[in-house]
Formats: sequence, C-alpha cells, structure tokens
Amino acid sequence: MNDLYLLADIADVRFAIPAERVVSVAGSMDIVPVPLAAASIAGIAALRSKVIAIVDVEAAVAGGAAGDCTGKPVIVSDIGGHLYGLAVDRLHDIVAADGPPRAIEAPAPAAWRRLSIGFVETPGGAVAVVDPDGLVEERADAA
Amino acid sequence: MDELLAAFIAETRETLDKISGDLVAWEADPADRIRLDEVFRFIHTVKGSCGFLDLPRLEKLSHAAEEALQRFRGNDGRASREQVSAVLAVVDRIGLLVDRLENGEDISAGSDEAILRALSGGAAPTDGAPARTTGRTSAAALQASSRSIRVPVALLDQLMGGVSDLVLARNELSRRLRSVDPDPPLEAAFERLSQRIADIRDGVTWTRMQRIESLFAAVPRLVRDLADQLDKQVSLRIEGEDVELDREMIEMLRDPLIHLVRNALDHGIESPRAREKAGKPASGTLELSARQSGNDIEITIRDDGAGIDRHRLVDKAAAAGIFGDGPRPAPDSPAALELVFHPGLSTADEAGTISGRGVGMDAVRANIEKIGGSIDIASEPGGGTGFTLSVPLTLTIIPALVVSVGEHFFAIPRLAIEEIVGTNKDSVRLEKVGASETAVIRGSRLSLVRAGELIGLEDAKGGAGDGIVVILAAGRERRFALLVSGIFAGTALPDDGRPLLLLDAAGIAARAGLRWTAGADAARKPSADAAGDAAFAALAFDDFDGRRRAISLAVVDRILELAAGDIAESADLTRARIGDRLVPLVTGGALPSAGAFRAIRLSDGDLDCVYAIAGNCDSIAFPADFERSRTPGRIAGIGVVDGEPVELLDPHALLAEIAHPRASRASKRCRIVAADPNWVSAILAPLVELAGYEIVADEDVPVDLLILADENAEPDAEAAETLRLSSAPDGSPDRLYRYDRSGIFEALQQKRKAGGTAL
Repeated sequence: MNDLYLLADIADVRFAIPAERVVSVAGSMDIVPVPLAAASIAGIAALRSKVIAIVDVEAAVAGGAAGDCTGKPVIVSDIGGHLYGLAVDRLHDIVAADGPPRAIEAPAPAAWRRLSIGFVETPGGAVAVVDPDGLVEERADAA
Repeated sequence: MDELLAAFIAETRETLDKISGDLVAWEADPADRIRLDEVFRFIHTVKGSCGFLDLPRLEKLSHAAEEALQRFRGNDGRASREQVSAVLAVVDRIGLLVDRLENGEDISAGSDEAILRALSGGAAPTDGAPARTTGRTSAAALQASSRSIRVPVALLDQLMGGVSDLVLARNELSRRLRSVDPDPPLEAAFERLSQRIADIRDGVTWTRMQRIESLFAAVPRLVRDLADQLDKQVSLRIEGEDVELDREMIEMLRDPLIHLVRNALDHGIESPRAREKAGKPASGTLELSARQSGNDIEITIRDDGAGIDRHRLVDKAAAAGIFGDGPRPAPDSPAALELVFHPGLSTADEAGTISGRGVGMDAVRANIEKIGGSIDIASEPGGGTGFTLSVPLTLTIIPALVVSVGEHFFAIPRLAIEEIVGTNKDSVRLEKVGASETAVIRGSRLSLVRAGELIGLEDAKGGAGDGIVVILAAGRERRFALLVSGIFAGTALPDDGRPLLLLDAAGIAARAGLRWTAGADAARKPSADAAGDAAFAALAFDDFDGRRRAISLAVVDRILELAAGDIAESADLTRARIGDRLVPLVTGGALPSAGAFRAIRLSDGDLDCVYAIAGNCDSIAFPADFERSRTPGRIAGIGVVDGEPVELLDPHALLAEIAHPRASRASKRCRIVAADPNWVSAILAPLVELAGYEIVADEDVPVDLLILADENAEPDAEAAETLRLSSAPDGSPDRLYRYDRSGIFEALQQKRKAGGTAL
C-alpha cells in the first residue's frame, strides 16, 4: 500500500501531512490579523471568495503566539468541515510512503506528541506525520 | 426509487404547512372554494403517490381525508369544527409518518383507527350525497403556482461561490485594465462582461430568496389550535406574503415568530368575556405583516389584546433584583417595556403550557440579533402589543462603515451606527467618572468603550484628541460610544479583496462589560428634551462656495474621498468614478483641479449621487424649526447651529437634478441638410446629439442651427446659426471638414452657448 504525503518544513523541521487531507496549496496570501483569536491563529485570508483561518504551524508546534505569516506558503485543509490554511515555511513534493505511520517511540516535546500521529519512511528519510485536526484541536483546548 | 421517495417526502412536507393554513382559511370563509379545491388536490396527489410508492398506510389515511373533503365539497362547502379538526389530525399524521419515512423507519406498523373514526364519525348528515361540480374553478390558483424544480442547497452554494469568484476575478481584471493605456474597444467588451456578471449575480442572489409566505404558512393553523386550547376567539390577518427573504433567514425567523404568536394569544388577547367587559369585540385580532423598507425587511406581529402590564413588569423586575441599586424606570418609559427582553422575567404568574416560563423573549432577541436584525416593542395598556422585527434583506450584503483601530481595519454594520463624531469637536467631551469613561455628546452622556483596549491592541490605545467616536446601538435604548482611530470609506480603502472583520455592537457591549441599567437612558432623555431642541441628525460641512451647509444624516450613504482625476465631465453631467461605476456628482462650487477632496454619497436606494464637499465635516443636530426657503431648490432652508447659520440641502432637489439631467436643459434644435440622409443618421447624428442638439427633420420647425453637409445647399435665413461642412479638407475658413471631429464638436458647443434658443 502506497500512501501519499505532502512534505513541508517549519523552521528546520520537516513533517508530512496525509495528501488526502490537503484540499489545495496556496502561495503567499494576504493575511488579516484577528485580535483576540487563539494564539496560533495568524489571521484570516481570502481563498477566492471563501474566508479561511490561517494557523501558524510553527506557533502551534512551539506553543507561542503566531508570527507574521504573510508570504508563507499555505496548505489548505478541511478540518471539521471548515477550511483552514496551515502556514509553513517551505513546501516540498508529494511523496509516497510504504505503509501506515508508525509510532515514534523516542521522547518528544508535548506539542509534537499531540500533533504527530507517527512517522513514515520516505525516499528522503523518516518524517513525522502531522494530523491537521490536532492543530485546531490544540486551539480548542487553549480557548 | 430512493430519489422518488425523497422527492415525495420533501414535496409533501413543504405543502403540509400550507395545506393546514388553507384549510383553516377555508373554514373561516366556506365560500372560498379555491382553497378547499387546493387542499383536495394536494390530498389526492399524496394518495396517488402513495399508491405508486407502495405506502399503504399513508394511502389509507389520505384516502379517508379525501373522502371527507369530498363530503365538504358536496355539502355546499360546509363542515363542522370537529370535522375540520379531524382532517387536520390526518394532515398531522401524514406529516408525522413522512418524518419517520425520512428517518428510514418502517411506517407500516401502528394504527390510525382513532383518527379515521373521528373522520367518519363526524360525517355530515349529507353523507353519501353526490359531489357537485361547482361553478368556481381554481384556474387562478393553478396559474399562481409557477413551474419550479428542486435543487440541492449545496449546488446553489457552489454556484454562489463560483459567482463570487467570478466577481473577484472581474475586479482584478478591472484593476489591471485601469493600469494600462486606454483601449476603448477592449473597455467596451469588458463593460459588457461586467454587466453580464452583475446580471448573473443578481439572478443567483434571487435563487436564494423565498417568499415569506412559507414562513407565515404555519401561522393560521397555530392560531386556530391555540385559540381552541385557550378558549379564545382570534381572527388572523396576514399581509405582505409576497415579500422575499433569504431562505436561511426564513428558517432562522421561524422559532422567534412562533414564539411571538404564542405569546400574543396566550398573554395578549383576552378571553371573549374579558374583551366584552372592556368594550372590545369578543374576537381578538392578530395582525402579521411583512414589508421591505430599504435594505431591511420589517415583520410586524400585533395583537389588540390587553397590552403589557408595565407596573407589574417593573415590580417583578425589581423583585428579581434586576435594577440592583439603580433607580427603577418609570412604568410608562420605553425602558420599562424593554424589560420584556430581560432573561428570566415574565408577567405571567403561572407558567402556562403554551408560553410564559420567562425563557424566550431574550432568546427571541438573541436569535434576531444573530442574523443582524433588531426587535422593537410597542404596547398600549388595553390596546395591545406589537413587535417589529427588522432583519437585513440578505446575509450576503451588509452595508458597513470601515473604521481603523491602530493599524487594523474593521467593519461595523450601518444598522448599528447612529452617529459619527470627531473628538476634536466642541460638541464632544470625554469625561472620567470614577474609573470609567464616558462621552458627553450634546448633553447626553454615553458609556465610552475604547476599541483599541477592547480588542487588545496595545499600540492603538491612543490619546483622546485624535479619535473618532462612533455611537452604536446594541438594540433600542442601548447606546454607547466606541472610540476608534479613524473612519474610512470608499476609495480611501484598498479594494484588494482582503477580508474585513465585522464588529458586532451587542458583542462589543458584552465584552466591554457594559451594564444596561434599564432606567439610565430614560433618565437621560428628558434632560436632552428639556434643552428644547426639537432637532434631527444632520451632517454639516463647508461647501466649495465657502458656505456652511448641512444635509440630513438619514440620506447620507457614506463619506468618501475622491481624487480630481476621478472626475469625468461629459456633455451633460459631472460624474465621479467610484470603483467601477460612474456616479453623478453635484457640487456647490468649483472643484479643485488637482488633489483629493471628500464627497458625500447620497442614495434613496435606487438613485444615487455624490455631493462634493470642501471639508470640516461634522455631525450636528439641525433644528427642526429652521427657516424654510421661499423657492423650491437645492437649499431647503437655513437654521442656526451653534450660533452659526447653516444651510440645509434638500436631498430631493439634488436627486431630481441627476434623475433627469436632460430635461433640465434648454433643448436646442438643429436640422442637417445633406446629400445622403443615411450619412446623417448613421454617422453624424451621434456627434451632434452629444453636443447637445436635438435633430429635427421637419423643415417647418424653427431650428437654432442649420448644418449644411451638402456643399450645394443654400443657407436658411430663419436659422439662427449655420455650420457648413465640406467633404474634403480644403482648409477654407468658413467650413469644416466633415470628419474634423473635434473641430465640429467645438464649433457645435460654441454655437450652442452663443445662440439664443429658438423656442
């Protein structure tokens, strides 16, 4: 079984998102900040005529406040029936991985343990798989 | 098969409400055969479908109902109340079974014996009489039901999304086009495209609209059942069923409407005996009406019952500790009536089965406000109670004012804005009261909320001097002042498709922790009145002729900024480019030839124009007893504001000026003499008309100008002016080459200005 994953970077960490969770990818979006929103929300942006919330993935992982995500590539994903944009630093290819994600047994920070659903072996090495739901659930916990 | 069943379920459910309503209406007016026929037809259709879809239980029910209806028809359209109730019970049962069908339940089990017995038991003595055909046909009813098809909402949403994308793409293209060299054919093609897209957008918007009839349809049945239950007599009047509303909005209004109708019957309308004692007809009246006013739909629910007992309401509120240590509002003040919307308060002493548990009116208000609407109450002791719900026409377009808070932009719905005032004006004072802040505007004290602090933008707290106060209403009698950094409108904003956050007035009030003491506003009001100002809100400004003028705030759509380059003077009218549109521009003096200036956009919903202003914009209270002008013109009159004379503009005159600009000009006539009349009508005429001439062919009509395009033609002594055209550019001084477009146009305009009129 060959599963497809989209590879992306935040800071110097590479991670994978299951390709079936990716609705589209967008280049630099014009992001309007939303005061009082959860810390990891960078703002809202217009995806054609739809307005989507942009999650600063780095902030979600590091637990800090969202930075300026204008100009960053955005992965659009359907989370709980709503479209969200996941702002990352770099986007890479879609790769095929052998088999489902396997658990990461090595110790990891709490945020990673919550977000990651394991790792997959790709031609470029092992990468952690991030569950988009976790990015927004985290927001719900914080609220 | 599944699809057929789904269509049957959807169709049946949609018609059930209407059928109940029709049946009740027919009961009230047995002569109305059309309604009875309609009910009969529906039941008959259900019966047929049930046979086809193999639903024996439903078929049996509908068959019994059909038989009963047939008896009504045969009985000269008369039926007892019990008989009608029995048919309604069948209609209800059909609805119940249809619900179960939809949930995939098996409906064959269960017995309908009881209601079937009621149906036949209540049979009229004329049972078995042959049905007579009647003279009155239902042709009108047949014509009224236009052809329609069902479309999944998801598909509509997809279509709307696509159209929105299309509009955005068009805007982008329009921006690109403006930045390149003008290319008239390309622009004309783009204009056509724009127009088609606007048409499509309108069309798609209307697919979302539904007649409010579908919301009102359930009410007659509800009123009948409640009246029976409560032993009251109620006649229902419904108006404005053809008003259209967003389908989603209709769904969201359903619960509030039902709640208000229940309240009216339970608490409003008295028992027949009590009514007679009070000198009223035994039967109460409930009025339900809908109308469109501007961008809002107003729905009114009014009863002629006992009205709200304000004394008891205030007493109850006091007992519930709602006023805290504050003063109790006077029972006859609007604030007292507003208590109805307070959570957990009801004048009913005992909780009835129908309404009156004190939960509800606050939920009704919350529901209405959720869709951007508002609810108002009016009640007269002994005279009844009325509620007016105002909801925006559609969820998709909300007129809004854009404000800035620090570096952020937000939109505030126009519905919530009462007034905009600069803090650098004498009429506004920001005062500290303890640890709280208030804004004193023309003697009224309002709670002040600093938007920057509220939203948590540290950099935007700002001083008091540079802000602008927007007075918001979070519902009737709940006003407060919001301090923002600036307001923006129109071209001052980058039209780049960035989303804007819409602020919610009620939400701001809640988050800022404003506490509405029900008496405070009422206490403030009389003092404002005591100053003796019968006045209305107006916008004052310096006009380009140096005068101070004002215009009623009610007609001001918004204030925008225009650049001199946005002004286009065509032959008959000055226009300003606003976005992609050209809007007629009216001015009180010469416009600056460079730079930017502000303008007020006026609109009556249909026509709009902009009025250029020199600056110094201020919101004022214009005295209602101003000195009226002697002659009808742009100036309605003059009033004294803060010791200075201010002229009041008459918006009607302004709109009238742009409504028929041609009619206001002295018409000039011209006749063209040419060897080839086709050349005149096809090629020369538009230019001549553009220059302001009406072309006449009749040689007996006196003309102001004679154009001689035929070189052999003789000048006419009767014409005031003559213009000669030559077929070749020969450079002769007394004639122009016939394709010297700018030369001809200039000459025409000169002659038009120079010559007197022949009329």
